[in-house]
Amino acid sequence: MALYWGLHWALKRILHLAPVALLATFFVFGMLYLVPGDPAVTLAGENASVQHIQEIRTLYGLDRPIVVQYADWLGNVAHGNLSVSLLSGEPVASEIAHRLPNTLLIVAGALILSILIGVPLSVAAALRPGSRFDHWSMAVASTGVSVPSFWLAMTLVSFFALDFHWFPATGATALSDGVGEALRHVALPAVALSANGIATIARQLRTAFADTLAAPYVRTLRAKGLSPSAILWKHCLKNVSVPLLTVIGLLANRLFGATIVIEIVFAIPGIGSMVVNAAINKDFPVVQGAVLVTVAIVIAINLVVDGLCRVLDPRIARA
Amino acid sequence: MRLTETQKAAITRRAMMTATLGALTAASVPYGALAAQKRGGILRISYGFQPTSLDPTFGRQGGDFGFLYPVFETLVDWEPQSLQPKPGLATSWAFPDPKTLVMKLREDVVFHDGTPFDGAAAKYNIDRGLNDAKSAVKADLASVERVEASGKHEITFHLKRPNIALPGILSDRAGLMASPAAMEKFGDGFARNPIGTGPWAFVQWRDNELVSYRRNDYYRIKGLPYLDGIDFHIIADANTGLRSVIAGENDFVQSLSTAQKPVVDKSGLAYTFSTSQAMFPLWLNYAKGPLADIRVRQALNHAIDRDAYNKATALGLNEIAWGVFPKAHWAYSAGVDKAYLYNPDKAKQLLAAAGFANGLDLSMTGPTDQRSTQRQEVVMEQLKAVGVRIKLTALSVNDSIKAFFYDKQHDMLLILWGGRADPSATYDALFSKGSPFNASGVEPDGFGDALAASQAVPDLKQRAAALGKVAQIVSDNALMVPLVFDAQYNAFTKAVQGFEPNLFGRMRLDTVSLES
Repeated sequence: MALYWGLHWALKRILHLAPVALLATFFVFGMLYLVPGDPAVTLAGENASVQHIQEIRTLYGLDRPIVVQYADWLGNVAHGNLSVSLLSGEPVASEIAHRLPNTLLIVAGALILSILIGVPLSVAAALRPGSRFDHWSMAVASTGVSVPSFWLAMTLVSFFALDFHWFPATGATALSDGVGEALRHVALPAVALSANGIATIARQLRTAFADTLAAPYVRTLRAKGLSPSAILWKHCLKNVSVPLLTVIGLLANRLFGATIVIEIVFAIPGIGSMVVNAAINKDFPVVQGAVLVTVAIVIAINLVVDGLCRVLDPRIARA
Repeated sequence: MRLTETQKAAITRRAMMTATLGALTAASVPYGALAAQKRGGILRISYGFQPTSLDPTFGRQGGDFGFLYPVFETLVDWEPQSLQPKPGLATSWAFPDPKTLVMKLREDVVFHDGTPFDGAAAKYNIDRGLNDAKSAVKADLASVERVEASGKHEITFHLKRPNIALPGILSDRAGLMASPAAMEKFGDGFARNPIGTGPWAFVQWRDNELVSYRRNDYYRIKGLPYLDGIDFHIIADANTGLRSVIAGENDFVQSLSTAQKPVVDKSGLAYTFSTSQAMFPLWLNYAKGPLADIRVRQALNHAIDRDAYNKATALGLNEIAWGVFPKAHWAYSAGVDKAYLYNPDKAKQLLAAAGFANGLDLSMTGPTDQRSTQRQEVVMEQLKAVGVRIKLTALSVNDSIKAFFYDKQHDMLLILWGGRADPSATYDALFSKGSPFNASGVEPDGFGDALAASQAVPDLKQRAAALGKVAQIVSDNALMVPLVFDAQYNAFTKAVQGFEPNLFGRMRLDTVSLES
């Protein structure tokens, strides 16, 4: 029965979120048309006449009303076809399928690092509120939030790729081509991307832990003689798990946006760099395809986070 | 036009490449040692952008040539240091009458798919360029009425009007020869399955990531190429590209900025720094507003301190531009040199005489990237000093081109001009009233006749003199504000040997080898 209601809830959420995806793609489609630029000029070549540009515009259907073009694209999507790139003529779906794993690997790496470092840091700081370590760790966290990821990326490359040759300076390797080499390639981008995540988790969770540790029920637990570790990991962590999951969900969504810069600095063929190129050249089908996939990923992350929060705190489900 | 003895001798030049390269490259800045170049190895290149298409007829930008030259060859080739035409897939050519061009073709050439290159194949390519709706070379072939395969290894062009520049035009994109059988087989997919006669055969293209080539074992020039293959790694950011070479992940990075020179110097990489005909000018729309007055255009030319501009934007390493060709180009005209020396007082006088004693407001557009912004700021400051106030609208490259050339929205544009293989074609593209690159849509008196005269004399020296007259008209009328010729700055590991830059600024790798 619980599974039935869980699925019912997930399906309802997906149905509610579908219009969001639709609106997002239409909004981006409209924005691409509103900003200056004409893909027909790019497609026509360097020394094209005005007449030739018009011919190209007609040939590619770029002279049709925007709503017709959007409906055409949407019709293809409904049939599972993300269309082909205006510039390269290649299927958008295969391009995304080739690049998405690289982006996912960086985001996953950064997220794991953020959790593995951010959570212990927040716990250590919350256990000694007002201590020198608390001040120091929160100062480092503040720096982590404000350090630009591209600067950190270039610094990491300078030391660990160019000086010590421990890691590659550019490129990506698929997991299927060797886990070790893939992890070596993803290490520096993930570290550069995780600085902000570590800081965010440490700061947010430190406050949540501190509040929980100061709660009356913790005092009672202490009075009953429970060990500090049992209080922390068994009782407190459960109480801060909802804010932790929320922060992780938000962070995952943010990391997808932040990969754009990282992918350029490390020359990684990912979704971010693909969108930048496509947007500059007004390659509508590629931008639309990437937006659709990204929106789907964000919706999926939010769905999973909401679902886990409902499991961890049944009060949310009852609300 | 009959070939000169020098041109005929050049047919065998590639076969003697190892021996002659030393002389060719001695005039330029560091290269690898050229003696006894090694055969083998895959050259890994960091390239700043991916090709718009690997179909030469449909490609859309000059940067494509780095990817096209490994696979395709042109009917007419050019000397790297002067851009003088020389035999390519055509061994000789002649104009039996002013409106007919006959080309003799090589008989020993096959495409990578094993089909022969002959007159019929050449005709197929030219017809495609003339007639296909998506062709990007229609304008280049505008003087061609029809073409026929007049022999097994001969092709004849019937022209609408005399055009001696056509062989030069056929050394550019319009003259790249692709396999007709492959074009028939792949249709639109040919752009992803390019097949030509070049030293390497295409292997794969992964969008914005990798373009690979491997040796053509049946290449017509014995002993070439040296490299077993080439891998172009697409790295948009030049700093990242340079880091990849320093880290040993690539062997070569092209088109660096002079701002990266300290890093290159510190890294110990080898490099080439060579003049190209690619030029940064201030493009003017002189059909309307204040720029319709020749005195205002002359004032703009006098207001620019080109030395200061060069120092501020390129550490002073670029060649100053007075006309549209650098000194090394065979059509270079010394007559227009220093016609508009930096003279702010004279600029103010000219503006006052034109009725702008209190200065004037002009609009300018250009790309938004950091290096373009720097160029725009220097120009704006220099013009401000004589009272010309610029309202800048920075856009993407394509958008600024559209805004200036097609929508006629601005008085000026600051953007790179890559040039054409033939100088008459260059003047035609830049200043003829019907050209898409002439935003004004008008041309000065005498320009059309002078240009036609430059296309009617067969001898190169006579042509150079005729082109000098065109240059003079352009300069006298101050049709643009030439700034500098953009030097080609490439860096590579010391394993890379025999790289030969050219005046076109288009990367060619036929002579490159890799030491272990």
